[in-house]
Amino acid sequence: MIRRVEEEVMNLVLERDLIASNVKTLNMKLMDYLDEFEDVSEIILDMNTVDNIDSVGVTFIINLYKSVTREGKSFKVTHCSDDIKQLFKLMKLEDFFELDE
Amino acid sequence: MTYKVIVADDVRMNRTLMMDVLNKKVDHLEFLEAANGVEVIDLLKDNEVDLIILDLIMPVMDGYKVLKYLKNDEHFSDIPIIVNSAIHEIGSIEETLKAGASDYFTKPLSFDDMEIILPLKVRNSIQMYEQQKIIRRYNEMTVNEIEHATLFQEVMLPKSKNLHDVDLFIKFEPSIGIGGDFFDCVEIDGITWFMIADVTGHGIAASMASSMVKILFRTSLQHKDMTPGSVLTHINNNIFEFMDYSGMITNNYTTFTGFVGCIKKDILSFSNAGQPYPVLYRNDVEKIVLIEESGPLVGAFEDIAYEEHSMTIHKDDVLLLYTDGIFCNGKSGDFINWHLVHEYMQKNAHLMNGDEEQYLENMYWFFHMLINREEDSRFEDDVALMLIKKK
Repeated sequence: MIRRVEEEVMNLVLERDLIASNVKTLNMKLMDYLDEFEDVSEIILDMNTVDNIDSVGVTFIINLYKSVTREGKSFKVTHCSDDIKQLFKLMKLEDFFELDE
Repeated sequence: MTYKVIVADDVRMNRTLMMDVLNKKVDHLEFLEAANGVEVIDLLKDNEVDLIILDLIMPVMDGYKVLKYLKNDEHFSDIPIIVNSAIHEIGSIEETLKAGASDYFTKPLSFDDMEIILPLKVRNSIQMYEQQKIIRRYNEMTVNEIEHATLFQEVMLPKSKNLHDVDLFIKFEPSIGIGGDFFDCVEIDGITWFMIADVTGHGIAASMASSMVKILFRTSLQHKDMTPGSVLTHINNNIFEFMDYSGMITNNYTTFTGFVGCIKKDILSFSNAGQPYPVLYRNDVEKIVLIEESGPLVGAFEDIAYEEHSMTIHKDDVLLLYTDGIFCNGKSGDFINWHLVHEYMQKNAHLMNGDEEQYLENMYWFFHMLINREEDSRFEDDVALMLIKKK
């Protein structure tokens, strides 16, 4: 996961599939980034390279969303494939955060 | 602690020399002497041996036969064996190493071999064997724990049976013996209640969470005027009340998809929390109908009120609920292929009239093929199928 901060927006760009075997590492990286959330007003999770996601991956996004919104920041997910959008729709995740192109 | 080393050599002086050197160079050794292969095997029957230093040319039974015998015996096959032989031919060295010897020295040993190399190899071999035993012990403990947990889960989950108002058919295949899939069906005061859930992840932690789901489901039914939506809401609220994730970045231990429904007379009411759409088989028209309603995962968001819906259900209609693992398997990305699942369900719908077990079996293998692509591979995720037939 790469982070890019431009003005008050932090982009978290995923580099691998969002599946159980990768989530532990992502959570560790996220711990490092949490302190930097203070300096931004929005966090965007970029899913451009994500083809596959499993239930642990979904909970990673939910946990990230909750961590971000708890700090009063806004959160959205970008560049989801149609398949992943379909999955998010099943879980009604679009009721909680924005899915952007 | 001492480590027992068998020194096998038909020449007593060689044995004595070997023991003297090792005694000086390696701590905590206890020696057992054997003058031939039969004595080696006899010693092994009465002693927990940590290393064998084996001569090849011995009377009664030679070292080759000992080596072959020990490596083919599951009780002794892991004991390290260092061969110490006067045979210098590369063929012999190759044969013994291929047969499983840890190392090979040729007699007479040089001063450096005797004083430095051999003691170090003895010590390393004993250490490696010790680590191997620790790993094996931990592995046995883990296997035992999983076996116990599997039994626990087996008694916790319902089996195929005939209830008063419905017939219940079950197919459950956890990925490692236990898993995070949960399903239940119970009749209370003329209402058939059922639930299916798929806890995030799999294995022991998921199975612990699924135990909790069963308790929450059954206790929620003890409240008055419950509906499928209020059951899911009740379970969700309780999870946030019971679990304390303070200081943790992740809380995916009790997150799950779930579907709760109830059948009262000819009304099917239900509420869905991210579970793959269940299917209702309409017996009168011999068609399957997707129940395309959904809601957020349970355990993910606080203060959720789950929506509920209802539809009619008639005699011999069949409801199929499943935790497919399709979108849980990151390798397949098969959640886009639900239409294939539904097509297959329709194709097999004729089995709903009397051959329901076969229907579940067919569906199970269909999921297997979708996820793993190969018939002989195992599911990586848990799979549960529950079929409820209205009487």
